[in-house]
Amino acid sequence: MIVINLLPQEFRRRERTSFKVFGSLLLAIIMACSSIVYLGHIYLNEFKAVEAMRIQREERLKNLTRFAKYDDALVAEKKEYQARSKTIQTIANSRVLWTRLLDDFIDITFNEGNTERHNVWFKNLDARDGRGKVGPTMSLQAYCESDEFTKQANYLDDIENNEEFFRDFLSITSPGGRVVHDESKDPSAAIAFKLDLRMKPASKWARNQRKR
Amino acid sequence: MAQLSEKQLILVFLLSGALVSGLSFGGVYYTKGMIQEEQEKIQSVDRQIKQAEAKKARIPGDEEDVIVLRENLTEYVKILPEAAELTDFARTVTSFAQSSGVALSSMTPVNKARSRRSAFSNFTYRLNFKGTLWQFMKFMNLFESYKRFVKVTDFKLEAGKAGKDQTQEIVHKFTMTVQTYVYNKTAGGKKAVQIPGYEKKKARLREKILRERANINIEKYAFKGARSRRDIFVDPRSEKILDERLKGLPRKEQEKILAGLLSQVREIQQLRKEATDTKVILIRYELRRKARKLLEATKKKAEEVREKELISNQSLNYRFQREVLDVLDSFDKTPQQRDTGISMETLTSVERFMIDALFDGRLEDAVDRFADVQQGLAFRKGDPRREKAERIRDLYRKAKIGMEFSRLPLQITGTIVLDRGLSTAIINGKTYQEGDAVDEELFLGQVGEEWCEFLYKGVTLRKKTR
Repeated sequence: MIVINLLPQEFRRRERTSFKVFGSLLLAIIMACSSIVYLGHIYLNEFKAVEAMRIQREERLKNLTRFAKYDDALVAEKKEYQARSKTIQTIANSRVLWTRLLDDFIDITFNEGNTERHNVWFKNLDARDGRGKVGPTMSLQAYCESDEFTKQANYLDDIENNEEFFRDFLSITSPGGRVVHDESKDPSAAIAFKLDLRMKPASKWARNQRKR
Repeated sequence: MAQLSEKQLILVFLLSGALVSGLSFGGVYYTKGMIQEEQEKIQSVDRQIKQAEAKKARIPGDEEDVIVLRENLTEYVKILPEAAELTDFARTVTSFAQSSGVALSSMTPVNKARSRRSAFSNFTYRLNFKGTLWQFMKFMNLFESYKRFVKVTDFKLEAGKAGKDQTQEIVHKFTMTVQTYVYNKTAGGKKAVQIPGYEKKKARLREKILRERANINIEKYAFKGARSRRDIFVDPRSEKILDERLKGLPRKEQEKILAGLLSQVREIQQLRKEATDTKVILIRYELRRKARKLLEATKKKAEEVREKELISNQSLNYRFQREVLDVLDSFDKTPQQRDTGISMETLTSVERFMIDALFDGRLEDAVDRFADVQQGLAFRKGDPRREKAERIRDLYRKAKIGMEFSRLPLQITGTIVLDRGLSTAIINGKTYQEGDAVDEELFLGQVGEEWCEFLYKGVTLRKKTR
């Protein structure tokens, strides 16, 4: 059926947006607005708050960095000075007082002139400083009057039993050697042997142990 | 719009809404990502803050450590020669050689090039020389007791041979390496950290600094010479003399003579002891008579042995001197003669005089008084005068140090005495606090309004201000 509206234009009912269109428009606006509001909330509330917190922390860190750098410089200097102190301590504490050592060694060898127990002399001496874990050494070409090894053993015993002298030593040659004769001497027989004395490394010497 | 149908319109609206929402959610997603990034940054900054705070908390401790180390290192390195002194080292070696008597034939530096990076540069010299064992010992000891640190790293000795003149000491051949170090304060080019209030903090840490200083101690040894010992690098056996007229007694014979004399000496000692111990006068008299008789006979025999050189063996002769002749000599002397005869009263008066002289600053008088009694200050163990003699010797040492101290160029131009804290003195234009080192061996002790006390070589000395 065809309906013809014969009313003049001004009397006719106004053409209205359909409910569906309006509803869809409203829905679209709500969707867009709420999502924009949510975005705003996330950006302005959460992000900005976190950003402000970060800036604040960075500011704090900036203030502390000055102290940290100062402490770093102190630690670096401390390490350098510790290393230097250690070096000089090592230098000083690793020095062998050869005069004392040799003086004591002469005392033991001389044995207050008593040649009954032993009578020893040397042809040469080679003394070397130690390094790191290797202690200093003394190496001598020795002779002991008599063709009996007892006297030589007595001498080696006297060295080992002299606490003052031997406390920083690690090892000494065992008795032994060969009997040599020099007819121009009286008595002509003597035992020739190599006397090797090895000291402990500097860190184990009695005087350095006491300091600890 | 007018051309769009209702359906199309609905579609346009819904799509527009969905697009805007989609864009917004995209923005939300992106912002969430940014938030996460920020949170990560915060976490990282927090970690750095934590580290920085820990470092800040460590500052007082690290400052203390640096001050202690810095002050002690300054002290430690004083034992090392300064770079300028190295050029003088050759002169030092020459003077040591002259003083000990060794004949120096070469002095070769075995140095590597100086490194600016390293804090310590070592300088090594190899020395070749000739001398007797005792000259060598003295030479080596001069290095080992030198005020600056010198280390003998190695040495070799080649025993010399006896010349025609048997009485002369045998000269040996030596090679010795000596090493010293120079401290390079500016090694590495780093500047020392500026510690605020350094001097105050240093003063507060004075005890800790001194405690730590004990970690380094340069041992020294004073070599006392041959002390009648034989040279152990010389064959002590006697030469077999083919000429019968010059030939001495066989060693066994010599040993027998010595043993006989030693037994007589012991017998005399026993008789004298028994005489002292007994309470019966007659027995004492008899024992002393026996001892005297035996002493005379032993002395006669010993004299004969000495004159005829019956004991020619070096070692046996040493024992003969020490255990027979010296002991027989001591029997001759009365206890008073054996000592010096200086009575306790005299010693007390000497001690009092020296104390007064030191107190009044008459150091020369104290030294002169000591010289008067010096020869008689040897007492046996257990003698109460021995302790008194030691005190007198100590006073003499103080007087000598005092004289040395008085020659030091010290000008005290002012003092600031504080009731609390460390007082200060202006010495030679510089400000020093109590406990400060003025020189290598000179420390400022207590500071008074018109005087300063110093610790010099272990002796406390007072000096008035100008």
